[in-house]
Amino acid sequence: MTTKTMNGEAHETRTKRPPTDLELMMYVDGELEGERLREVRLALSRDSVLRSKVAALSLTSSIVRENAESDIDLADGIMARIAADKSTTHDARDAAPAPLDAPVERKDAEVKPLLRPGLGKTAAKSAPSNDNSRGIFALAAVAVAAAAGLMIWGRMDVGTPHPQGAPVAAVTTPAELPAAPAPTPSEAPRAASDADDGDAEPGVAVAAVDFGAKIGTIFYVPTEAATSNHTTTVVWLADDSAGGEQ
Amino acid sequence: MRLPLIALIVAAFGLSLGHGPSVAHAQDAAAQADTSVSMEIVVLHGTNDGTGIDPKIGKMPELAKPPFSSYNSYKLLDRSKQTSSKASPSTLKLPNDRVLKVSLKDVVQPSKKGEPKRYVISASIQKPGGSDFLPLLEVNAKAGETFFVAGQNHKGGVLVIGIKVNP
Repeated sequence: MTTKTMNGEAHETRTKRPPTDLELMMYVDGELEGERLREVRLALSRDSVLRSKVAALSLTSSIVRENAESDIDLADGIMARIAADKSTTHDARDAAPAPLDAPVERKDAEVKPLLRPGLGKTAAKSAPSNDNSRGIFALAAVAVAAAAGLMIWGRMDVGTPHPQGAPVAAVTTPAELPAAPAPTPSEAPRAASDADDGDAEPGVAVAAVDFGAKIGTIFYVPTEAATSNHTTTVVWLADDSAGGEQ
Repeated sequence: MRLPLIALIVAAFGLSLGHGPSVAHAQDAAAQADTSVSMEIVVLHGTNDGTGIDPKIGKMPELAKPPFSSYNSYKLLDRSKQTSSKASPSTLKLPNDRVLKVSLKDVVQPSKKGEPKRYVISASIQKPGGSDFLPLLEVNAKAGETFFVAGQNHKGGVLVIGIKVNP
């Protein structure tokens, strides 16, 4: 979003809202897009805490995904079990049909109990009806991964400076700056939009700003020579009416 | 077979729950040492009366650059040192009778060795009637860095407020 104001100078106008945890998760999962994706990337480039959070989320996500994709061949196990049962319960119904004109002696299908009498209870115990140990291993791995993620997350939250529900930060261009002549191109300050290129490292990062009903601007003013990347942050907020309060 | 697995799961969760608070406790203890911070606040008056930059201001090359260069003269109105903490924000009455409130919100320990810690500073400006001129400004600054809040009209010019966390 671009606004052309302030003595004809064009400035990027954007909402500088710190990304929420949900948005960080969406960013890690690649589900964030558009303008918000760009804003989150910008916030990540500025905030090392956010970068650490994203790293932790990526680690957790990769571990969980790895375990989720591990092969729990439930279908294969069932099919193998059925095949094994077929071999032992093969009866007359599985045989080729007898010719119709031949005398047929019908027999009832042989019924076998689930627990074979000859094996007894101990044998039944040693051969479980289905092999779910892999599932338990996968569950354990996921639990360990979740625990590790919780641990990392807990450490991150201690140093997180952004409270949830913080006021929406708005970097906007003032409609009018009283008696503020347009800067020459050679000495124009780096407005907030120019920080996107990553060349300039703002000395003071604006985490949140609420201008209320007014319109304000954030400038990043170079402090030293033009080659230096060091900048000073200036929040410019003018009074509504000319003259203001004395 | 299942018993060790369940024990492993329980142990993992126990580790996470037990280890988290201990780390948090250690970091809280470190943060306790940084509950207050000293700040220097300068209040300048920018005009176009042609008197130039007040030498009392000291070295402030930003004043020669936009947006400050909109005004050719700057005079030092006030320079004060304030101590702010999480519990008690510092307040400063401005020349236009508004009140600047500055508070330390948090101290962010460096993620890498050798990097300085950063201070999360919150600032707001209230009008005499109690309404907000600037409801909230929250910045993340290193010690020695100055940030400015400027633009309030005052006596034919503007007020420029510089806030710096002292090392």
